[in-house]
Amino acid sequence: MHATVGLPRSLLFHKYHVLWETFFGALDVETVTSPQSNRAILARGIELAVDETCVPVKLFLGHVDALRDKADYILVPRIVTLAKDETACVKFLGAYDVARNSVPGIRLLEYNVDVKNGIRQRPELCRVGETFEPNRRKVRRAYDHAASEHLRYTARLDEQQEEVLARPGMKVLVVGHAYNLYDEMLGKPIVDFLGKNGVEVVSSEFHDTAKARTLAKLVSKDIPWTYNKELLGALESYRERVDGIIFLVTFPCGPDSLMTELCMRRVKGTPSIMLVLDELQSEAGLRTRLESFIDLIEAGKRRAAVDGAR
Amino acid sequence: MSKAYLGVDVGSISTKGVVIDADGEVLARSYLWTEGNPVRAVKRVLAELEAQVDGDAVEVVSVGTTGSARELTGAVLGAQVVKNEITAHAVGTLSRHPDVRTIFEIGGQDSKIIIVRDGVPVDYAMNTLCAAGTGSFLSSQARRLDVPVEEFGEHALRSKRPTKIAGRCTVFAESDLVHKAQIGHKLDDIIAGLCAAIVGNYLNNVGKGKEVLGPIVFQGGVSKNVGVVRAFEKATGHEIQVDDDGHLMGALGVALVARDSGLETPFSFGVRDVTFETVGEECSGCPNDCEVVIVLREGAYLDGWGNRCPRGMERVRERVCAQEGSLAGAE
Repeated sequence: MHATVGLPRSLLFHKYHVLWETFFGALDVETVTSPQSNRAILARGIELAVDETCVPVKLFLGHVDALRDKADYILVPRIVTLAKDETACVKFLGAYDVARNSVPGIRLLEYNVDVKNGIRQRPELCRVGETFEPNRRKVRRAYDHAASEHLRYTARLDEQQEEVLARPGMKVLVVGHAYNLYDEMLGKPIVDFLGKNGVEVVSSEFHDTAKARTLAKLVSKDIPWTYNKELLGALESYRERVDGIIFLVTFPCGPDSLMTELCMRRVKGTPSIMLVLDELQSEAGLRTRLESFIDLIEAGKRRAAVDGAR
Repeated sequence: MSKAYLGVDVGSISTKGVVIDADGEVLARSYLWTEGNPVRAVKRVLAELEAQVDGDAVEVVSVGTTGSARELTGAVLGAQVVKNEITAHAVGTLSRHPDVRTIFEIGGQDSKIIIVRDGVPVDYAMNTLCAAGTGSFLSSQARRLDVPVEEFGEHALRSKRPTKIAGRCTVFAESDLVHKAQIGHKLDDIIAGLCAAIVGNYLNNVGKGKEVLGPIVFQGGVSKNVGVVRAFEKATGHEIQVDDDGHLMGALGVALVARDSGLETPFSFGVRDVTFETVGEECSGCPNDCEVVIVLREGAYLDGWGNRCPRGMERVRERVCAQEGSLAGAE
């Protein structure tokens, strides 16, 4: 009998799906992923969530609920800190407990990462693996294999970004968390719209974490949120090589509202806009903003060409 | 026959139209309320414009639409150009004020700032989730105070001591306004305070972090309110220019874009007499339940949007057309 583990297609899934899928695959455990975000999932999430939570958390609860009866377990990590002097946004700290208390009739698997207090990913995820495989050595091998696959995958993503940056044509950096950028309802329509209008999209996913941390210090020494540091790293690394920057923020995100403000003051010279997404968003408003942003970049490029010819 | 170009700007509150000649001179202008029915408003604008142009001397060869109903209007008029209102406003304003460096714009439901340097728009911002400080906010406060919104400016100018009104949020502004009236502030002072609150809100939200340099042009419906104009001058320290045609800049801009597009198809004002109908329906083919809108011209499919996938459009189109067919058959 094969056990199945459900992976909600939200929050950290977009960062760690290769790690999780490879790990469970190596242990002969089948993974089931919730469908792409859709209106029904969002509506269910809104129903389950406390009003004040951000849209991504509402979507997350909708995805957890979508996996009910579809898998034996649902994996939700509890991420507190990934390095000393850093912290993850509170939603990653609370996701497990929020899901456990909000979504009825589910069995959760959790693992903790709190590097500041000596709790690391490897032993924690291995503990989860032992639920399915009593042979500890086999579980550790599965983890190490998954971790190297994850690194290989993210390195490839970074390379692909460099390839996009090397191409001619208009390039726009979209700064936003993976769980927003790659969500079917949040970031995807924006990325698709840009693509349809001939704009190459560079995402703020930046996987060289050591480099990201160094670069982030150039913008601010005090930002405590790990994933925001990665965004800052991407911004510093890419901003001179793109024609425009879009900050994608979901309402009401605390860390992002501070970060975006800080960044927009920093990127003087490169056209930039902030798009705030909420659960009631209208695509018409987004299109107006994106279209005019593209017009603006084109006007700037035309002028640069004229100035250059002179 | 000389060539002319039509620009139509359909906003949430008002609908604007201009006909220009090849030099960008305005031959005809129209401005009226949308009243929640963009197609009817556009037809009325067309009637007003047609009455002002000499049909034997000029021929409209290209049409542009802008504003929040630009897509629908574009389909109805068979427009060559459908442009977002930010670009349209920038183009229109630059044609009249080539030296402008900042454009303030406050409309019925949105507000924006466009930063222009050396005749090229380089940056812009638009209000995000909140409509506080836009025209509809002023109108609703005017109703509460029982003063026609058109007279707000005069009242504000009479005030010597503007009352401080919390302008952060429409809901709070409203309760604050009632409170200030109850404790005895004068009507003129309250209205002046309201104008200042709008300006403060605009500069702190939409204008946040933007380098506001003169010359500044202020447009949109709210620019007709001298109280707000004065409040802007006080807050920025710059003279604020308000064009008599300020409310037409979007229409003018998109007419210019249509002219410069080089796309030409003879346009007939007769489109006024054609029956257009719009049908909005949820697809229900998948959990996304896209709201698909279909435009029918004399009962036949003309255009549609709102679908995330092509299947959605087909489903709704078939359903709607089948319905229309059965209705036609019953008659």
